[in-house]
Amino acid sequence: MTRGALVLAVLAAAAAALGLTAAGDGGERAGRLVWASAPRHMTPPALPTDAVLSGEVRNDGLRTVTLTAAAVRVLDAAGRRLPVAARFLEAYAPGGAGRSVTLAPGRTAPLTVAWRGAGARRIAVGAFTLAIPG
Amino acid sequence: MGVAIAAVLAPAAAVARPVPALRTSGPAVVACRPDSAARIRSGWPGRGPRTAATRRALLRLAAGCRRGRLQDAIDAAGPGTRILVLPGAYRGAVTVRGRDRQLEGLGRRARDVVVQGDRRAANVIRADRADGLVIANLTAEQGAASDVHVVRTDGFRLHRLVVRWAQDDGVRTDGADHGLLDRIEAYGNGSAGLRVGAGAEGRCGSRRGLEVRDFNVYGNVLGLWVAAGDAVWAHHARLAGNATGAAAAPLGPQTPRGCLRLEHLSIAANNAEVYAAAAPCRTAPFARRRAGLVCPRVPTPVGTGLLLRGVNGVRVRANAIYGNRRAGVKLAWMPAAARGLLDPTRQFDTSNGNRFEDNRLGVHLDGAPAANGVDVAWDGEGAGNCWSGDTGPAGAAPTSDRPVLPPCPRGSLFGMGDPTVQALEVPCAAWNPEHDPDPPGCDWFAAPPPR
Repeated sequence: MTRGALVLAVLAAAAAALGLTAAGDGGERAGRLVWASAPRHMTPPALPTDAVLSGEVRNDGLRTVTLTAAAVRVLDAAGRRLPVAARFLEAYAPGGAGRSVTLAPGRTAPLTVAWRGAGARRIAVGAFTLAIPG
Repeated sequence: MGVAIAAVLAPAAAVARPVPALRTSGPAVVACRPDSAARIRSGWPGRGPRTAATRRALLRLAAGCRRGRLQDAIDAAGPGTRILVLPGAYRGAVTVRGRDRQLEGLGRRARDVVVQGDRRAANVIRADRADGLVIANLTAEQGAASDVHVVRTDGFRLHRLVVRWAQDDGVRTDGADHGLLDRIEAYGNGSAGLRVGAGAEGRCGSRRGLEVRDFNVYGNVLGLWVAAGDAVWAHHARLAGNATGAAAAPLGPQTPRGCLRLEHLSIAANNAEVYAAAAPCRTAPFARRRAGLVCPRVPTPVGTGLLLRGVNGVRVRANAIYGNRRAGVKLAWMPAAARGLLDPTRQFDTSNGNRFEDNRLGVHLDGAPAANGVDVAWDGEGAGNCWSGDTGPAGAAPTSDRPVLPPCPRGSLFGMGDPTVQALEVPCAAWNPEHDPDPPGCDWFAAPPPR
């Protein structure tokens, strides 16, 4: 590695650690939305090909972000989308509840994501990515 | 002279507005159709003295009738006037405004006078600021929203109506109080047969509220929907063959104060597969669908008798609840944030203090077993919820997905509920009749197989 490349790499790592690079929702870089604790992974008894993941997400970035349920995707290993339903809720509510949430840095919100089919690898919430544990 | 709301509700200092009585005399305006006389003759055949006298009286009204449009007759009626509607089909929506109007069909049956929407007008009969309103003995159908919508009205009575085939609700009340709805038959509606509550306010004992009795709701998505109904008393009625028999939920950030009473209801076999039959709904707008096609407009768990979500202080007493293939009764939490109340200390302000007493579950009225999927489904959230005197077949305890149903009067200690049970219902919130009729993770839209 050249000296210049090394300097650039160090600067990039530092910027990433501080959350200064920009891309995605709210100007935050991808990867700053995390599960605040391990989410529950469930299979509805009557729907064996479906899965439901529910937990709390936390904004670990430095800026307030607005997340929308319509921007939630569940992707398989090849990057294909699986059919998905998502709401920022931990229990059912009718109407428009849970369609979007605004999170200040360090704040959390419930998120429940369901999908149909096998092979899910990750959840995209706009430009953010959440792991699917297990 | 009014019929006081017998209600819910013990005497209190506040003076209740009366529910108006059905008037049989006083000023009147008559509406008719060209075939009204023929319908009168066919409706009252024979030579019996009473039949003949009724026929003659109605034919005299028909002979003098000059108003073929119902709205013209309504517009000609002043306060205290009866609008007498002779047998026939009246096409087009109407609006009633002003005090003390009585819109009354003069047919032998409610089906003899039909007010038919054009499937484009939101409400077939809309009563707006119509204190003292009476609507009686007629059928309203095919509203693009509701068949009968009572709005901002204090003191009203809906009596002996048939409401059917509305895109949303057969009857809906909003901002309406001191009302009596009795002998209403509602079927084939895409949201609820009867949707009541918003505006029925007052503490228990305040003598305010709505009384809903002697109704028969079937083949709707929801038979009875009590939305933000703090003072509703529904009793002595039949709710059968809907997707869900009855449902109650709050609206808005206020914590529900709780005076909903559900008593002496027959809540049976609410397993209607309305979602599975809804594919034709997506090919045409309401105005171009055939009348009678039920197209769900709200998501609800098919196979549920009584669904109470995010309510407080409900009393469910002496009902017969059977043959509902998912659950006889379901009690569930709704986070306050979903109502717009963001205070983190108040997220569990429902479901508290709900009492279930002396209900018969899983037993047909004739005594034969007719199991619910489970008699009582409860997510375990809330404080002071209690069950006493409820019985299953042969006097057995009701079945439940909870290990213990706390007895009355003390009921449950506060619990946050089972997060898995709660989370499994969240995907159903993504349901949309056009864009997402079968969201992943939601098992609501088909009744479970019979037990």
